[in-house]
Amino acid sequence: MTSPEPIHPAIDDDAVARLRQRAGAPSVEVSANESVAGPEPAAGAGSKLRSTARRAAGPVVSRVRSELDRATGGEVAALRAEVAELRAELARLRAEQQAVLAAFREDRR
Amino acid sequence: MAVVALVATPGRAAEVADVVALVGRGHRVVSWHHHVRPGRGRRPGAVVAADVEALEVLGSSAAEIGVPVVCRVIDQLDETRARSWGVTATFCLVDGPGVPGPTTKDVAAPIRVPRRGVDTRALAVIPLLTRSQLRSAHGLPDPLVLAVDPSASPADRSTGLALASAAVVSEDLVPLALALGTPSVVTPEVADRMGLEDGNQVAVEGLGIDSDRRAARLARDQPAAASMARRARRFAEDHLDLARPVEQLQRALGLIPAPSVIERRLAELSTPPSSRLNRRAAEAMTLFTLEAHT
Amino acid sequence: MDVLVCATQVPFMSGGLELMVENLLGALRGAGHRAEVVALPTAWDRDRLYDAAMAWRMVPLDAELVIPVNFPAYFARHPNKVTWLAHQHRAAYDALGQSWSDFGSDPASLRDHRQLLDWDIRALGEAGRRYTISRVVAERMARWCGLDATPLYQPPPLADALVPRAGGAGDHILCATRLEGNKRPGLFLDGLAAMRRRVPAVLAGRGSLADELAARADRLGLDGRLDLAGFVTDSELVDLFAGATAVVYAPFDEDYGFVTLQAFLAGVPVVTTADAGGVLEWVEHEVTGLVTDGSPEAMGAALDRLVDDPELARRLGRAGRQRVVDLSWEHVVDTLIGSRS
Repeated sequence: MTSPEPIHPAIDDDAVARLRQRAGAPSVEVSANESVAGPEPAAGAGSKLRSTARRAAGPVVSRVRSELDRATGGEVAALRAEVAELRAELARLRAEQQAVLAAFREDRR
Repeated sequence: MAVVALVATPGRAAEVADVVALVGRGHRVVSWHHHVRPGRGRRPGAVVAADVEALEVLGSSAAEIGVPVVCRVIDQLDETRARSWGVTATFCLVDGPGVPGPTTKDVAAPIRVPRRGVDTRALAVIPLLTRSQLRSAHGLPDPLVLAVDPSASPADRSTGLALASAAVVSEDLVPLALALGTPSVVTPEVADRMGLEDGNQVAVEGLGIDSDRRAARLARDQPAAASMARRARRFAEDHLDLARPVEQLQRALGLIPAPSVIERRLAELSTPPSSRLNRRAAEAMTLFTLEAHT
Repeated sequence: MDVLVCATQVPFMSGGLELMVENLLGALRGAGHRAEVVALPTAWDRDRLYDAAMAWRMVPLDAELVIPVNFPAYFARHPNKVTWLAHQHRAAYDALGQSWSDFGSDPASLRDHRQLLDWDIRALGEAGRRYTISRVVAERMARWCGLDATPLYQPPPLADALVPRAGGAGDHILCATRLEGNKRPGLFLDGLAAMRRRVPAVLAGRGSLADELAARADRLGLDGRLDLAGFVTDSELVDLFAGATAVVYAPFDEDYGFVTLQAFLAGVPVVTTADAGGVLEWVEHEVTGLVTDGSPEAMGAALDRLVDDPELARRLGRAGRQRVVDLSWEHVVDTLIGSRS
């Protein structure tokens, strides 16, 4: 099932396919104490900020590339919504990067 | 695009970085001291102060700086100082529903921003019958009971929570599960920490086979699951939502215009910004918009 | 008290809901309240379905109490909103998968479905008190919206005129219904054909299936025994109920079903099916009627049993009447107004 506009931002088509593969199988173990959230950037990690931002933007860039590849296949119209989504994601990443940098500068002045 | 400056007493800025990132989305976020150095003559369009002491850096009062300022406060004394300085609004970071705060109409209350929040407007609730439809459309079993693996990828976790009939959920995923309206089983410790009640917003059960069984029972009991899903979403909107407080801050900073009546009506039904219904309402009002501009 | 009854207007159409609204209005006024109906046009196709809901959010309702009775009237904004729900938008709920539902499994449908249910839960959740016309409607709301509601039953049309016959057995079997697919009048015909006893029968009502049913009656050899009466006047209908040995009413998943209550008021037992929905709130097997699996054999056997045993028919009919005779509009009004809960 494909659609230019996702049904819901929490639902990812590839993840649905993986879920379908394992649906019906015993569910995985839960370890509630285990946190998957990455560590907060350390206050003194200024030199790492740019590389962190680059890592965060990486998936977006690769998605843009793959979308462009698809566009050459004649799916330009179907991409409009996805491009808007990518723009929003880039805005989010840009704001996060700028905020972390601004906080770093204020904290370390 | 406006320039939003963050000003802080050294050591106090990092805590508000997440809020500033949300407030400044779509704008340019800068450090006050880096951007507005003496002699540069640059002024931001809005300022976020990470603490009350930092206001003195800006000037003796709001009138001196001439742009909207919001300030983070941690107690009533902060609140009083910030108000007397003349901030446009104050905000506080809250951990859960138990945190007290001024609520009467006469007292200017700080905007409450949850530390571990979710953007409930972007993450619309998925009611149980729609989940069933989605499972059918995607060839998934119905009911679908999951123990969501906290080490799975973010896409796998959110997809699982969005499509499950009921799920065993680890602490870091609870805000997302509540926002999506997933009937969730959590441990007593997590429930305590977040102010959640057994049989109300979540089912509370110890780890292991008991929690799996509880989730399976919940998936079969449709009225209980539907009621829990509704209360879970309500909890997320009341205590974990980032969208509304961020919007309040943006409005206080003049970054977004006041909503129209029809936008307020759609928002009170929690209509996502991407919904076709926003466009449909906007189309219905086009005539009047044009009139207003001619 | 100033009361506004909020309802849907589907231009050029009138049915059970309009009758219910009219009766409620009369009962409110009869109880001394000032009451008016506010109705907004609504389209049922998915593309325009939400327009009236949005419109309800904007309509000023200056009254002390508003009583929405159906989708999307319950989107009305008012601090004192008490719903008395006849139905939600069934195409998005129990009728999913039916040929007439335009909610499918395509992405646009799924997005719209999510939105509708989310809106429904919020709009219905705003109500200070929630009532439904039957337990079936309340259970649907609980199952799909997670909201509690209390069934509030109304007397059927012609309630005052329907009384048990003075004595003797009935002389025909009656099915009085709209001739539409969800009412399943064909089950009545199949049941008649499967009966051992050749008693007369009447099918009263109009609808899109009239021609098809006439042909089916012919095929089943019911010609001469079955009267396809079509439209009948109120007084004719009262007479038909009064003279019936049994009433067959076997719709699919009915919300309420006035026919059951009318039969009971006339002291006549009802033969139905196990999947008839709200009908089963009244018809209890071998207490107020007979519940079958819907097969022609079972329907025929149930009807034979009542014809063969007039005392059984009388006993079930009496018990049915006991269950409905106290239903009143006064009770409905008092409950909705809040003087009784």
